Amino acid sequence: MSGLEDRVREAYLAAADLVREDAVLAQAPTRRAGSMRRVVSASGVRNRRVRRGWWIAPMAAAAAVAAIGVTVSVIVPHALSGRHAQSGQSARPQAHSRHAARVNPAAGSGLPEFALVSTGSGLQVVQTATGHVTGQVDMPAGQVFSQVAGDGSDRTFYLSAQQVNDQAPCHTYFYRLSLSADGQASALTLLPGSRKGGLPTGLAASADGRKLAFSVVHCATGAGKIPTTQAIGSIAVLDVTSGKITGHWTYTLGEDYPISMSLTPNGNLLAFAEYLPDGSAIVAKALRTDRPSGTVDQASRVVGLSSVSSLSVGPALYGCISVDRSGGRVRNQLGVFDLATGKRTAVLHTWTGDNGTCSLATNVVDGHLLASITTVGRRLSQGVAEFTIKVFAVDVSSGRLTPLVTVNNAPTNATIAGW
Amino acid sequence: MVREDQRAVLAAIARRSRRQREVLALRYYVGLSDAEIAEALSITTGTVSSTVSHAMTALARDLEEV
Repeated sequence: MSGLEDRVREAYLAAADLVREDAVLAQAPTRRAGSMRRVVSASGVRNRRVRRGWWIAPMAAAAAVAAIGVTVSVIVPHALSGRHAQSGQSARPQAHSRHAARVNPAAGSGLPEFALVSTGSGLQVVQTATGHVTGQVDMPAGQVFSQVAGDGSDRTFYLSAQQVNDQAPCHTYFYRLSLSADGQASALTLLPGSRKGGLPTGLAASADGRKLAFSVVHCATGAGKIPTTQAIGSIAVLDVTSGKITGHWTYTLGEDYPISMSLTPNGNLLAFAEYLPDGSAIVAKALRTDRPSGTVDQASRVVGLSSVSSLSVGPALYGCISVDRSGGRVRNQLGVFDLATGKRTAVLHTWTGDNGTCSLATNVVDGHLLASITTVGRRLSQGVAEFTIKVFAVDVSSGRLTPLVTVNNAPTNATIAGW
Repeated sequence: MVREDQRAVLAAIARRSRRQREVLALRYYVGLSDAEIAEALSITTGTVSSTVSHAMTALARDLEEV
């Protein structure tokens, strides 16, 4: 078994070496309080510093491993945040020019007119018919975007962002932006009452523009013993106009946090993906947003059982499905689920040539999904890798795929797209 | 670059339960001892050992090492 143990260590380290340090830092809290200690692995393979009592920053783990389809759960970020503190670096958004998107000028008509695509350092507004980049959205100072959700109008978008400096390392902010008729982006508007303690894990907007659903996982310090029944995060629904929270459902350490969210057009039903409590599969769940506040477990039900890693609600429930192949490769499919029964009714598309991580934008607009496939690109120095993100429009009636944008040399936090 | 055999290991890890993935990561990535893992996860060292054992057995099976 020792040979297998070495293989497991090497695999983890290989995965970790793919991570851009700044991408991890951008996802992780940067507080420097707390004691540090050195931990020497049994194999002596690598020494790491671990901050005792920290169990937060799950997004850091997600960033570390998302590109290769492995989820290291809540506890691992101890080490990642410790590495950050050890390095003494601070994460800063990068300049725009490096990760310019290459767009497909032959994209067809009938699509939503614009799509927002992240380049890792900001967002570009892409006109789908021409491929022109019509606008640019800078990240707020000291923050990085985490999710984007359109309201279905193709003109109004909501963004979640998290702080990456020491002043407020564990806060989530929500912004709204509008596009003009020619695709110019307005300035970001901070939503009233939007600053939330915790790190964002999911965001969705209703097509009537009135509701915003989000998930944040809390940050905490202190004792390491945390019961699995303790609430570590929550899903909430925000009335965009008033800034008031109209519903709030907590999830516990024994559960996992939502990794993809989508609202029905009227905002009454929220679909999201998360691991089952025993971690055996990623499933799609649905939660009625008019239910009384309480726990996610009580308020939601499973509506898809096929390792749905990212989802979107439209005429049906659409989800990215990862199908294991030999040698650890993954084939991505786009499945259709019946929201009422949870049964998969069809496969809209299978990506035969693109292994990688599949993501869906939260909304179906003009009968089209916005899907992206992220694959490992070239490796840079010091173990840093960059990624290639291909963005597609998918007709939900026919399954027809239209390539829209390819982002080359992107950091891991660039897999954000929306319309 | 992650080699093919490493991808296979990572894919096999991904198929384990959430608890098994936590324990594997803490032991083989972070480098914690069983006692430290037990403290972090609020479980006993016996549970850590058995979880690791079950996970490694399953990994070996998946990777056809048994």
